[in-house]
Formats: sequence, structure tokens, C-alpha cells
Amino acid sequence: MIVVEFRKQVWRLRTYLALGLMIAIPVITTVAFKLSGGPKEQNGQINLFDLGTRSGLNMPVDSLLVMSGFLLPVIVSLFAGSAIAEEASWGSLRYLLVRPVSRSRLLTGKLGVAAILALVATLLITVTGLVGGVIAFGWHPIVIPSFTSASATTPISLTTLSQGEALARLVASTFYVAWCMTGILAFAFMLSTITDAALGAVSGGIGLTVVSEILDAIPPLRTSRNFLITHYWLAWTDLFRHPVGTGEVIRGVLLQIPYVIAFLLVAWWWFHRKDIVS
Amino acid sequence: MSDAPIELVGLSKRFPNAGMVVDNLSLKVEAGRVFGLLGPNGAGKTTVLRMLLGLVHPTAGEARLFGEPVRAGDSVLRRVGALVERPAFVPHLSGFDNLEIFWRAGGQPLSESHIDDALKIAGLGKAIRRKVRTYSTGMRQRLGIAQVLLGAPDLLLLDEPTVGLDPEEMRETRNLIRDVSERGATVFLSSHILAEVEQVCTHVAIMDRGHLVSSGSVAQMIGAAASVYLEVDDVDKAIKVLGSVAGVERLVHEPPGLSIMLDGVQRKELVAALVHAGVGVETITSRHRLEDAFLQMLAGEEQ
Repeated sequence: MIVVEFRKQVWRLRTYLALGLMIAIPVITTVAFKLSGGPKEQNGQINLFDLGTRSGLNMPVDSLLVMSGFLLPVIVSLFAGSAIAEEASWGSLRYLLVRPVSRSRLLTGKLGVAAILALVATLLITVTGLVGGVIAFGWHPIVIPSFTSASATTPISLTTLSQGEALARLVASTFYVAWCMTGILAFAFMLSTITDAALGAVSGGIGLTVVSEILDAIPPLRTSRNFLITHYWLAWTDLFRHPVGTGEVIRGVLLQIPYVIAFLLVAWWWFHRKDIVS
Repeated sequence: MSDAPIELVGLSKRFPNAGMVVDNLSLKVEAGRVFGLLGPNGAGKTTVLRMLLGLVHPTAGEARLFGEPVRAGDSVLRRVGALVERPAFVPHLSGFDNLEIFWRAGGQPLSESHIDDALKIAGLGKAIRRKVRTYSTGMRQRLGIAQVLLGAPDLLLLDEPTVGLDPEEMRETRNLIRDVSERGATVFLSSHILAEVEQVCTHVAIMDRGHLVSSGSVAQMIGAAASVYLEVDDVDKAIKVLGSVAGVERLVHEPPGLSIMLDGVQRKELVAALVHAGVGVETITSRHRLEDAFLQMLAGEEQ
């Protein structure tokens, strides 16, 4: 089933456009940094983004920062939200289901392909940023901000990391970002089983991202913000500071699990009892 | 429990927004028959087909294929080819790719699909490699019929199989249904084209508003209804005269003459009434058509 589903997605212009964006934005960012000399430090403050031109290894970090907050979730919502609903709108869903294929197997195949495409999209951001960054700024040790403690918020100086160490943290960050997308992916996929309008399911995924990020920016909500699906999305940047902070990264990994389970349970329950009339 | 290709036992379906669409339907289709399901729009024909394929869950009763209760994704569906409502494909893939992925989705090797035979039937030539989004309605319908025939199924479920086809293609499709039946497969089709059903079906069932009105062989059905076609020298006067004759069920002006459905009145009584009123009768022809039986049964159901 996964092979069949892949075939539908691979021979499709939309897939290439979506993945092409994951390449284009890091390239544009790299070129812009190269031509402009990179962002300037504000009032003596140092942040990760401003260090993009110090080494080619900084560029994938900047690319993930730029993309993971909005554009990546949009693309993930696109892959997951259209998985079932689009087939329903074409009318081809009923023909998939008149084959001796259980609904669970169909859902697993479609979810699997959406998840793999989401992972590929995330990997493309990092790989493109890395290749572009190394070409533009060279293969040097990476420069990261240094703090007095893991919980401190104001950097006091800069520290260098070897290329090997930076690469290892980059791989971990990439998979963390991909993992953070699973909640949105499961939500858009759930909507895709409920509605026959793919646009609605895709918009739902994007909408959840936007609403969660807006709520996360409201300080009076205090600790309840810790349960928002997007709250720990940028926790991976703690891997690019000295000393390394892993607490929020672990909480970010764990937070996605109940969301994914809940959304997928609803998707499975709904799709099994659904009458296919499209 | 029999292993008839199709058996419906007290099958019912209620949709939240549409009420009872199929109501306590029981029906059995024996192997090798070409069975037509007739009914006006909204009779529940497509819902019956969807329940037979496990696409729609019955509210009550059971649909069985080859003796097995149907559930979504059952292995018994390997023996079934289906065309539901209209053919539908992945638009950005070619006709060939659509057939291939449709077959592979069932986990069966392409070598068991008889795809070459299906392609021959589709008759799309080089267009089979074109994206389906470029196909006309007729091309999609032919591809849909080819898809139904993949794997040489034992049972074909066809919903309006000739919609969108030109007269030549409709004739080819009818011949195809006969060929499939001759090799031993069972065909269950719904259609609103009564002449088509009359030509290809051995048995029919008539549905109206979710109920089974009648079922039996086509010959039995046609025998249950009688009509005549009259050509007269004064059509308007004839309509007036015949309208007052007891036993004239339905009177339709079909130029150059009149089609009259009879309910107990003899042909000679019609002629006598017309002659007595001074209307010249040029010809009178007996007609026994499925359409007449269909309309008569639905009229009886209304009463």
C-alpha cells in the first residue's frame, strides 16, 4: 500500500513544488546572508541567527529557525491534510476501498507516506542549508552563544564547537524539528478522514499552528502554555548554546505523544465507521 | 446460508439527513444471471451497491457476497469488479498507471490482473499513457469498465455503466456484459435506461423509495404489463374518447400515434369506442415493454 501511495505522490508537480520550497528558502537565505554580510548584532546582543555567516554549519541552523515556525508546518499540513480528503474529492477513495484492503491498512499507508514526505521536507531544509552554507561560508568550527547557566537567557560571550560536534547536534535538531511536526501531521490527517474537502483539512493544520503560536505569545496564560502543541518547537536551539539545555527538548518530545495518539485514535475511529458516499 | 453471488437479507440504511434510503430489502441473485436493478432517482439503488461493497454500513440486515457477510476490505472483494456512480481516477496519473495502482492496492501481483485484456476493452490506444485529467467523459467511462474487468472477476457490480458513452460504445458495453455473462460471471447492474436493461438483463428488481416493488425474470415482468400503440386519423379526438374508456391506465402522445397502457380493457373495446366516435383507426400494435411494466408497477406503488 505504501508503494502505491508513494507512486501517487512522487509523480506529482505539487510534491515537487512543496519540497522545492524547502530547498529554495535556505538557498535564498544563504545568498542574502552572503550578499549582505549577514544580520547585524542588535545592541550588543548575540543570538543564534546573527551567527549565520561565521561558518557554513551555522546556515542550516538559521534555515531551520526560519522554516520550522510556519512554512514547514504548512507543507506538513498539505501532505497530511490531503491524504484521504483529496482521494474522496476525486472519487477515487471508493475505488481504493472496493479492493480487498482493510481501512486500517489504507490509513497506515497514507499516514506513512505523509510522515515520510514530512521528514524529507525537514531533511531538505538542513541539507540545503548545510550545502549552501559550506559553499558560501566554508567548513569552519561553529560559533554559538555562551551563557552563565543552562537556564540563563542573556548570552555573555561566544564559544566554538568542532565541526563534528556541530554536525551531531544538527542531526539531532533536525530530527527533533521533524518530531515536533507529528502533532500537526496527526491533526491534519484526522481532519482529512472527517472531511471530503482537502483544503479544509490542510487549513485546519495551519490554523492549529497559528492559534497555538498566538496563544503561546500571551504571557498571562503562564504555565498552561506549556501544553500548547507548538510551545517547545524551538527548544532544539538549546542544543546550540553553552552549556547545552536538554530539559525543554525532552519535554517537547514527550508533549507530542498524547497529541499524536489522540488525533490518530479519532482518525481511525471515525474512518472505520464512516460511510463512503463521495 | 447459500453461496449465491448476491444475497440481501432485510437490508436497511438510514442516513441522518436523508432518512430511510433502503428499507428492509431482501433479494437473491443466482450465479450467471445478468440482474438489473431499476428504480427512479432516489430509489436507493446506489446505496444498495455501496452496501454490497462495504462502503456504506447497513443500519439493519445484511449484504452477502458468495455467502459471506460483506465488510470493508474483505477478501471476498477479490472476486468482485465494481463501477460505482461514475468512474474516478487519480487525475495526475495516466490511465495505465491508474489501472496498475488500483490492482496493486489489493496486494495482488499484476500478472493476475489480465491487464492486457482490460486494455483491449478500454480501446484507448496511445491515450492510455496520457494523464487521466485530459480524458473525455467517454474515455473515463471506458477506462472505468476496463478497471472493473481487471482480474476477470466472478461478479460485476455496475452502476449506470453506459453513462457518457456514445451509441456505438453503449452497444459495445452491452455486448461486453453479455460476453462476461457467457463466461459464467454474474452481473448486477443499475440503470435508468430501461431499454438497455431489457436488452441485456435476464432478471430485474424494481425499487422505489427504498422498497423492493417487484422482482423476477424480464419475461415475467414484461408479461405483467400490456400496452398498445395506435395510429388514428384524428389524434386529439382519440385522446378525448380514450380518456373516458374504463381500463385505460395511461395515454401518451408518441407521434404519429398514441401509446396506451391497458389495465383490464381489451384492444377491441378501444377500437370499437374510437370507431363509434367517428375516429378512423389506421393501425393497432400490441407492445409489451419493460418500460410499461416499470411505470405500471411504480403507479401501483403510488396508489
